[in-house]
Amino acid sequence: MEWEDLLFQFLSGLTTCMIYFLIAAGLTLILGVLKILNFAQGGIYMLGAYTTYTFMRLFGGSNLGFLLTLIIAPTVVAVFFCILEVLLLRRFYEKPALYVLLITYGVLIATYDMARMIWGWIIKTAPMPAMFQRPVEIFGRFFPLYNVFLISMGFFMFFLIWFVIHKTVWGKMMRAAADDREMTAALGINVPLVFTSVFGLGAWIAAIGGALVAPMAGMAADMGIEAGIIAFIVVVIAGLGSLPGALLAAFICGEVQAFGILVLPELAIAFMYLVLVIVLIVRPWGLFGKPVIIK
Amino acid sequence: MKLKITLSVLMSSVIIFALILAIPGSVLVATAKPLPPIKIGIVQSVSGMVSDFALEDVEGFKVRIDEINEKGGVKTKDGLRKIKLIVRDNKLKPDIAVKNAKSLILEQKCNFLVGCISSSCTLAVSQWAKENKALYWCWDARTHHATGSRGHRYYFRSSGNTWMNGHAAAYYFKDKPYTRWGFINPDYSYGRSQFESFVHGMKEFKAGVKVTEQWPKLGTTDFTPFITALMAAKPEMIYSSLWGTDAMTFIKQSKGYGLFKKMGYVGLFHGMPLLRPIGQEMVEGIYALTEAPFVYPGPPENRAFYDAYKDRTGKLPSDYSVLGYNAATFIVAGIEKAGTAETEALIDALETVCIDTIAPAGRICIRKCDHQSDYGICIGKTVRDPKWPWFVLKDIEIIPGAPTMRSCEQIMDERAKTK
Repeated sequence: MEWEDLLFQFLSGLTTCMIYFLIAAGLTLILGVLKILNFAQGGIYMLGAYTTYTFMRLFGGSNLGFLLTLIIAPTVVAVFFCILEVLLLRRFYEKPALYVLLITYGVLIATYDMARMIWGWIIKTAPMPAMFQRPVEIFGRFFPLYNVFLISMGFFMFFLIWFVIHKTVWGKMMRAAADDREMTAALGINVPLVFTSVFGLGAWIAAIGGALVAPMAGMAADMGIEAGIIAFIVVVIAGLGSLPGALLAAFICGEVQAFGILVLPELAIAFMYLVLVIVLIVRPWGLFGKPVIIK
Repeated sequence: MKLKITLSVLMSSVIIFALILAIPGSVLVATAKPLPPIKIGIVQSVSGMVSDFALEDVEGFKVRIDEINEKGGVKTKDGLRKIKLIVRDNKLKPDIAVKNAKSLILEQKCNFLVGCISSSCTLAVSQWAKENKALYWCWDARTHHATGSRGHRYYFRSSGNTWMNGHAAAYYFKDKPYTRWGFINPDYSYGRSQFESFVHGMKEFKAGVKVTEQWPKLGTTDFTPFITALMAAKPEMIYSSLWGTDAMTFIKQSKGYGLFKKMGYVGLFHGMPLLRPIGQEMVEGIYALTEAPFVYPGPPENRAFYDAYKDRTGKLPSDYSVLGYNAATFIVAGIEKAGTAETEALIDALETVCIDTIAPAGRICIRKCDHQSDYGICIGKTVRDPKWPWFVLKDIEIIPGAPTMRSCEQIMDERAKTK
């Protein structure tokens, strides 16, 4: 095994990391602010991929077409889920957490059937945009340019979300509503609107994840269920509600798998769960989470 | 008063009863009752992850049955009998498949069962069929145990199985100059079976050595770490039993790493179900193994089937459609040979039945000792075709089924040990 092999394995792990991060970031945001477990997160990711497929077919595989799709497709999905939040989810925030769990789980199943109804049974893939069809040469070997793009987009999204949360008024309102929603409402801030916007943002991040994955993978309606599980594992390892935690957790999962399969390829399916189990034993509140004291 | 009413009621009922007894007799004399249809119960996973392929099995089967029904039905001792199909969805769950089987045979009174695309489903239904002495014909599910250690009198299979598939590829490559093999398979029973089968064949035919094996889980969206791990081991040839979205995703992502320029690739069942959706994003020059490659127009039997399928369903058939079509052809041939759809007689007839399947595979037969058909597999290289929006296969060679099957003695030994 040469050191270039290890470097490439690291870069591959980084690609996986960014995909995991994008699915999980929205979930952790919604969890942190709205304090609800959004089971439908995986379904949003899946719909992001499928709408990207449709828009890319509409605009063609050109570079401009891809750019337009990246802007429009996740926005369409996010708006759809904002409407869903207003009409459906909003009513259940004050009720016991079980209700929201069931409702979002129902939404997940509904997205699965929706995808099958709209896009049909056959597996699909979005065309790879022209500008990414050539590889990048790293130390004499080929690495897909699209992976470089994906990794950069992952970092970009992380900083974008961090910026929104910590450096904008909107972010301040989010953090305030997360800390104490009654007080925030008392200060005249429209808390339900903040919640809807956060839900929309969380959905938008997941949809971008799906959009970025669309040209590099095949898509089937059940990819949302798998993605949803990954999202939860990452969020639990990260610490519920922590954004930097989500990135670190995604990184650990991605790299443990990437290097694990070099040594023990038979256990490929288990690595992520092993990380989860270790974290739950050693630090059950997650890497960046706070221990909950039950009085 | 009461007595009068009772008497008249009694009289009228006697008269009515007599009339009822009389009429059927006269009707029987006047017209011949049509023979009841033969009912075939289909257990298939028409919802869930594999539904596209599962439905194609059903469609292919229906095309043949429709052809027969249009001629008036299948010829039996008593005359022509039409065939009626009742389909039940097993949702890819073996316990539901068994429920389906019970309902179809016991409630719907089907003559026999057909179906299963998933190995776990076929083993479950096979067990029930054995206990209840119901004939069950498997058209697609691959685990070789179903006709091997767990085979029995009431189970037949018209498709190949994992043992044959794996050994076919090894048999083909034994004379070729590749020795270092890398493997990538989905980590579940099917992937594991195909891997074990090829590795066994590789040892048996001295086709090479394994340098790496990778096990992505079913539905992996990101193969990048598996790709780089595979390439780091520097195999000359990769053997893959990935299918569906996994195969599509793997090929798309591997292109970016230049994988196909550095090593060869053999994809098991990389036929129409993959070539059609992946379209122009496919790679040229890789080996694909499939039981029924897309060859159109081709020889007359091909064209006839493709046209019939297209007329009835609106699209061109895939490999799975051919599997369904073959199953129906076998069954019809068996019923005509036995002259009846009665289970025991039909089984005796089916044990030695042969059919001509569409090119390039040719003539396939059921082997009496284990009820496994000797359906071989074809191998070809992918190439662009200006006539179609998908890639086709060129330099197609047929690998016959017989040399890849285990001998009857081995199978009977295994069955004896399993008891």
